[in-house]
Amino acid sequence: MSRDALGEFEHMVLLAILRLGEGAYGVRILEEIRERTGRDVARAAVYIALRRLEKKGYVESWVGEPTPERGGRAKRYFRVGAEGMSQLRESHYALSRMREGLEPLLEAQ
Amino acid sequence: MSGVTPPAWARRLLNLALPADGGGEIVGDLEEEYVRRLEAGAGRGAARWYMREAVRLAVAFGWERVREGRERRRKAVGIRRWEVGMLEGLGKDVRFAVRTLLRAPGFGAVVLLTLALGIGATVAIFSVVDGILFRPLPYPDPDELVMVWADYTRRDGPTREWLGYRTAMDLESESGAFAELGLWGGWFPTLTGRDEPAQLRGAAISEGMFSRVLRVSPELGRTFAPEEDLPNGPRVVLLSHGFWSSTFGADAGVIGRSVTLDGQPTTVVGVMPRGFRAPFIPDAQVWQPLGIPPDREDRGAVYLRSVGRLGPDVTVEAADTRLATLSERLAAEYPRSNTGVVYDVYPLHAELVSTAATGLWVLLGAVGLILLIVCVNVANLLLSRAVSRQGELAVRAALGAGRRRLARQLLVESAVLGLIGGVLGIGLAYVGVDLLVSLAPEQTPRVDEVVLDGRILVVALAISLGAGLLFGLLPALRAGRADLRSALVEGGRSGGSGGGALARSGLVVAQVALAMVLLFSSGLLIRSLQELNRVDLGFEPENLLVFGVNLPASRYGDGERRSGFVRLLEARLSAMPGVDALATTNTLPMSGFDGDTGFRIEGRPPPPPEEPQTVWIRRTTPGYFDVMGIELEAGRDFRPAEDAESPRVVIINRTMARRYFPDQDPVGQRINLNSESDPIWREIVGIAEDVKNFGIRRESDVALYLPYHQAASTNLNVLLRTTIEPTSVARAAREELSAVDPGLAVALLEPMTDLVSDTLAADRFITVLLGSFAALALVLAVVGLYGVISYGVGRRSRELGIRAALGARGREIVLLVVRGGLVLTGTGLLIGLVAAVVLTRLMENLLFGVSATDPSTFVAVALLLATVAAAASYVPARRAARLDPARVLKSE
Repeated sequence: MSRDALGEFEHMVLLAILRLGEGAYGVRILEEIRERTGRDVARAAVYIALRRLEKKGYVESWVGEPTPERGGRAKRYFRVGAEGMSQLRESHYALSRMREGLEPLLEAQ
Repeated sequence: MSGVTPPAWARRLLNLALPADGGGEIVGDLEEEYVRRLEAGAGRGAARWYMREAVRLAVAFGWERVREGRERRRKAVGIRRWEVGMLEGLGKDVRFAVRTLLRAPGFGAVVLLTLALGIGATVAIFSVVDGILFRPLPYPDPDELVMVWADYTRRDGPTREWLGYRTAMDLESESGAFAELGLWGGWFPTLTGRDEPAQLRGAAISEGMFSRVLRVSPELGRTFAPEEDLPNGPRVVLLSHGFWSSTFGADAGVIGRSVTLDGQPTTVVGVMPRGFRAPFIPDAQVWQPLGIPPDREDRGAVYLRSVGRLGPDVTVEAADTRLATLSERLAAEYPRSNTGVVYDVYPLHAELVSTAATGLWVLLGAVGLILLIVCVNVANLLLSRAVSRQGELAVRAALGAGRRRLARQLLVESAVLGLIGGVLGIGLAYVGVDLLVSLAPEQTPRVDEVVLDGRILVVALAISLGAGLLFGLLPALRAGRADLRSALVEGGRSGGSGGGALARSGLVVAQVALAMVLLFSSGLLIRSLQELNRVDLGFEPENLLVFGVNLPASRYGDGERRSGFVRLLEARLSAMPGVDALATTNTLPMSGFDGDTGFRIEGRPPPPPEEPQTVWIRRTTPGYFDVMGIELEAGRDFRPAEDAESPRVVIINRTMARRYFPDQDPVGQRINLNSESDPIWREIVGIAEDVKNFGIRRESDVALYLPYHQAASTNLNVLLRTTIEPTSVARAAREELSAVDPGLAVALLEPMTDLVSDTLAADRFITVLLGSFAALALVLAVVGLYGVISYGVGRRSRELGIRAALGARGREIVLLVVRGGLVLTGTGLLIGLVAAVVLTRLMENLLFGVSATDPSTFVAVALLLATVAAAASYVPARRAARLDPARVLKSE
């Protein structure tokens, strides 16, 4: 594991961004996580995780067009950067290696 | 709350809590979902949802920021660890200090109250002194502004005499010292044409006075043009902001409008900015151009005063030197008017505040002493509390807190006390400053520029912190050195080392000494005020109403008209009920407004031009001396028949009689007040008792009286001797004036006793303030003394118990204790006396009739202190005497 370790929640946020591909912004990321995991995740947790990820350099953001429905405010879109991808791959590899053979146990309801 | 827009406060909360970068987009996301819910028909529920989410976001981001802050600090620790450690320690100390204070609210309240009073008084006085003495004048480059006076001392005249027009022109053009020399004179026109005629206050100024000398532009319109500053130029006027607001309703259309001043239509050309005050006649409502003929040659008449701006890079000293050289040249060229006359330059600021300067410094010094006493007092309180906290401190020491840490802790406590006391004091100071400014005597210069602003607040906080460190020093030092272990052993009961008692006694001695200084100074001022009140004015001010009128020269251009007016007015006023007698004069005694002129006595050689004889002149109507209660030593008063057609007469005063007629009877001799070439001989018909003409302090000068009807002036004051309260006649008098001439306004309508009292207003003000400080100091010192004696009795209870058991009677014990108190007081008294003698020399020019080292005042003050101190010691002494020796000894 290298410098700043990836927390579990931060991990999920990165994955959600990857799943959404284009147009990953706050509302969508939150919905994606809630739907797929079934957890009632706090909105603030998502934004704060995004902030920390950006600080660590794993995620990049840019600002889009403001729209009237949003009270005249813009959307901030996110994308996983190169560093973030590298982190994800490392974690994935490490976890997969550790999980290998334990699937029956982990997938029991 | 509408169902369409989310609640505003939630938005505001988010704006506050979310970070600047990215926060907007987060709110946008929220709004998007909100709109979606609304469209799905959630109605009110959507707003509630929005609020919930907003609060959660705010809280979460709040914590995030705290975390980020800690993170940053942690990163910085590696480089500047010691700094962070100290700051962290300081923060902890402050929190601990606050908790400690909250645990002893009674003690804290006493200390904070004392501090608030001391710091509040200091900040209030400092604001006033700063506003008047320290702040630069409110004009651009105020250091370049000066006044020019003529020094006539070599001609037996005043040091600061006014200027003549031609001379002023020469000074400006020939000395090379000035960028411009502005001139001014008083102007008091009557405003008519609106409701009642009103007497205005104003000044006549040279055309460049505001634009080039003071460099202040009007808020509306313009100042004067050069062609308006000519004798027959268009009549124009500038208004002050306050006058414009109150009389013209701040109407911008006033520019170009015509108003009637002194019966003449005058055009308003401008309005000066709000808060603008010229450095002369500060309450002026109107200004007009001087309008002096530029070719006027007369050098003898001096009726102008000046405010000038020095040329670039010309210092006051350089200007003075140039003027000295020029003075010599003028003396050579015009010997009659200028021999022995030297023109001097004085910085404007110093000139304006010179009358108030000593008093202000004395007040500042006095309040500084009060602050010191307060600090000593608080130090004493802290010491006594430190004693009772010794147990607590010992425990903390045992638990590992270093001595230096403990000392620092106590110092931080004191600093916190100081700052809180300071903040409370600043609150008191706001009220105090308003009070001081409203009670200050009218003639206090620049008093309306006094303000408690940011710069004063900074000083106040510095004072608070300084005071806190000062009074905290002693207890902190002792905590650092104390043997805390022994305190633990003794159970923190009897106060540990005896050094505590010595320190406290020392502090009380200091308090008594400081109180002594204040009491002595204040005693001197009280004596001085008594002496001033005892001075014989030369006339009787009781039951006299002064009724002043200024006649406009345009309608009362010659003596006949003025005389006629006065006769008519006098007749009507004397017919009023309640009026016993009346007379008229042009200037009032004590006012210092008399004009002067040279004179020559018949049969004697004329005085040389370098040593002219001058005399002060007053013009009065018959009956004046009787109405004023001025004794006529010889001869008679003027007669009603003595008017412009009859032979000229004068009445001289006692000083003039003694000085110029030591061996002969002046009555019957003749004097010429006019020029040598064209004399008018006036016969002396009476000698009057001397009257104070320039305030109470100045000795009487050579003065004489002319019959008003032979030398009528435009300004006049009718003096009415009333059988009833003077003010009850006032309204009727106004109506009589209206009846004679409805276009005239009342310039002055006050009982003479009030006018006399006003001349002492400044002395009274300082005496009252200093007296209050002295009383406060006395109370603080006595309370301190009581505390120390009380404490000492408590500590010596065992010893006193033994004495009682061995047969000492109650009275002996009382004497023992009281003697201890008197010893402390006496020591403080002596130290205070030495300090007082040195310091009161600085206030010598405030005193009158009493020396700065007056022994009887000292004796009185010493007796006062001793008595009060004895009483303060007596109470605990009696308590000591009543102790049951058996019980005391048993409780050991």
